[in-house]
Amino acid sequence: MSEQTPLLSVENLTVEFKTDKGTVRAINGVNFKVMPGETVAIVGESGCGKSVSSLSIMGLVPSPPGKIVDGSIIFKGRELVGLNEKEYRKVRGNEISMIFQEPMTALNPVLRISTQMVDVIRLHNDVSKKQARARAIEMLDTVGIPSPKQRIDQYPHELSGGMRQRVMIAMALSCGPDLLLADEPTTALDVTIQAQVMDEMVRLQKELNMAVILVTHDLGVVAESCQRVVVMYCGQIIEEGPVEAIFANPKHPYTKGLLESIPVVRDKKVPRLPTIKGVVPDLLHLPNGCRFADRCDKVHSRCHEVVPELSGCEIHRVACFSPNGDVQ
Amino acid sequence: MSDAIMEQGSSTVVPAKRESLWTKAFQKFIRDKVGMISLSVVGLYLLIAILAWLGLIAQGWDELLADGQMGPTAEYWFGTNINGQDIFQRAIYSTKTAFEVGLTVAVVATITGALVGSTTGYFSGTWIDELFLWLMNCLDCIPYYLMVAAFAVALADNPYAMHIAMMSCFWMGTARLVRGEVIKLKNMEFTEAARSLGVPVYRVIFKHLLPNTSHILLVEMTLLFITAIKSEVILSFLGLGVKDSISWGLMIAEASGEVTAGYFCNFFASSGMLFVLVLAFNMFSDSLQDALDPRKI
Repeated sequence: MSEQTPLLSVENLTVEFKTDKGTVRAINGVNFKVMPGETVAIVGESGCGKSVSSLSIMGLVPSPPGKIVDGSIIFKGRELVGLNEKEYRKVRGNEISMIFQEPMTALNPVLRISTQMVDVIRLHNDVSKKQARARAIEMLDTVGIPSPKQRIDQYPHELSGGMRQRVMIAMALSCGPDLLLADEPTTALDVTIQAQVMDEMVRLQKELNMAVILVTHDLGVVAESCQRVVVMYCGQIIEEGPVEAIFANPKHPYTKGLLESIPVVRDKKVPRLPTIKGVVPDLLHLPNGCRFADRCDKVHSRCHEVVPELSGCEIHRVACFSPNGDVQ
Repeated sequence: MSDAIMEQGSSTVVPAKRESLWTKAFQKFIRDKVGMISLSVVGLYLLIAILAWLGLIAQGWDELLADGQMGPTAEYWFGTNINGQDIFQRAIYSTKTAFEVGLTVAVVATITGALVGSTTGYFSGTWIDELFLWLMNCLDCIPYYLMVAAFAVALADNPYAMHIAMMSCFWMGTARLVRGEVIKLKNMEFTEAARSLGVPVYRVIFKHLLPNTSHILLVEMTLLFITAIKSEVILSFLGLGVKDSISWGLMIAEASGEVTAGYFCNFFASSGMLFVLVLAFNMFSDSLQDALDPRKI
């Protein structure tokens, strides 16, 4: 795998937001790679920089107040940071697409599905309206919308949540992107619909051979559908590795905590669910050393002084001084 | 329940009759009696205005036809004014003047307001927004009637000085409303989704965001129409408005001399016409607002 050239490689990405109280580093020196056809999950709790990472890749960090201050995003050998708006537009939707958390608000309520889909297809391809419409119907059919020929002329409010998310997926995939960013695509859906939509995504990913970055906090979804996991905490990557390794042998205390806090219903006697004590530090007043130090039960003096680097072997890396519980 | 069935892909139930927000609003409007009555009154006025504009009726408004200050007769329904002109024809022809001012001002001001409002709303927080807000605040500082007088002088008695003055003042209210709505809309995911699919900014603003404010624009346009007509009457009364034509405002100005002498025809004809139109249009506007309010559909 490592011999292949990565489809996307994010290097030392740092994004800052200017607020009234001072400058906030939403993500700080993030490095990760996505291989062609691979599914990578970015997990972490709210405010850890998951969404900002994906918006940075799309070049859609709200500016002002946000700004990419350092690092590079290389997609298919091309630098995306600093690309002008016109060039970036050709990438968005065409080579990198994105789907969103809220299917209820991600479609424009006053435009028909056909208008929205045809618009996107014609933006990136030199086709007639009729051809674009045919393509849109084909895509709706692909994502499992029944009677797409009738559905395409409906308004978003006439579709259910699951169907809207499917329409969103159809729209995002209509130009055959190489990379799909899915920002919590199933969070707002019913559990049954969640599974259907996820299955659909996994199937389409194989069919179209595209890479997916799945931003989520649902570890169940991660275990089912991803090959690699990137765990983020407070704007930094703290652990990265294959999904089996992360689930079987988590090294960072935070990842361990996350996995332990998944309820296991199969046990007859349900013990009190463990939680990670403490709260996420304020991004304005970050500690000097490891950002997890205040919440970690394996903390020692060095953790408060030096920020641990992401290290370890090529496939499973962790940013902790005592990844196995012992001081290195 | 039916959603669940559709999700399985086994059923192909699609509502046969497609209802857009507009058809729903339309159906709601035609059920509204007050709305329909006021609309037909407005429609009658519009018909009169069009016929006068085409030169089919009331072309004798300017002619000296009979003795002055006649009461209502079979030939002159509302009597004649001090110069012996037919008050009925004058009142009818004034409808054309009123609609001309109302429509041009309402359309131009609403479009300007929509364009400026949506652009500033989208770029809120940047210098573009600051610039336009500053401009609007500056324009707001100038007293309205002073502005009209200034335009009248600057345009050397151009008959459209009043129109231009109104257009340059009235767009700001619409712009502020649209700006607020667009600020709300641009933080919704569909804006981000459109951007993430590579839709250029100008298309996001004018094709994706602006249509979402159409209910505001339509109601704003009806309100501006009324405001413009009322302003025209006041300005004409004050001598800043219509020149070389007739308007209810000019008729009321004429009547101000006549009423003291006991002749009320001119006054009642002009203010009555104005009153009915404004009332009907306000009621129509209210009904329209109810019908278009997405929270009530």
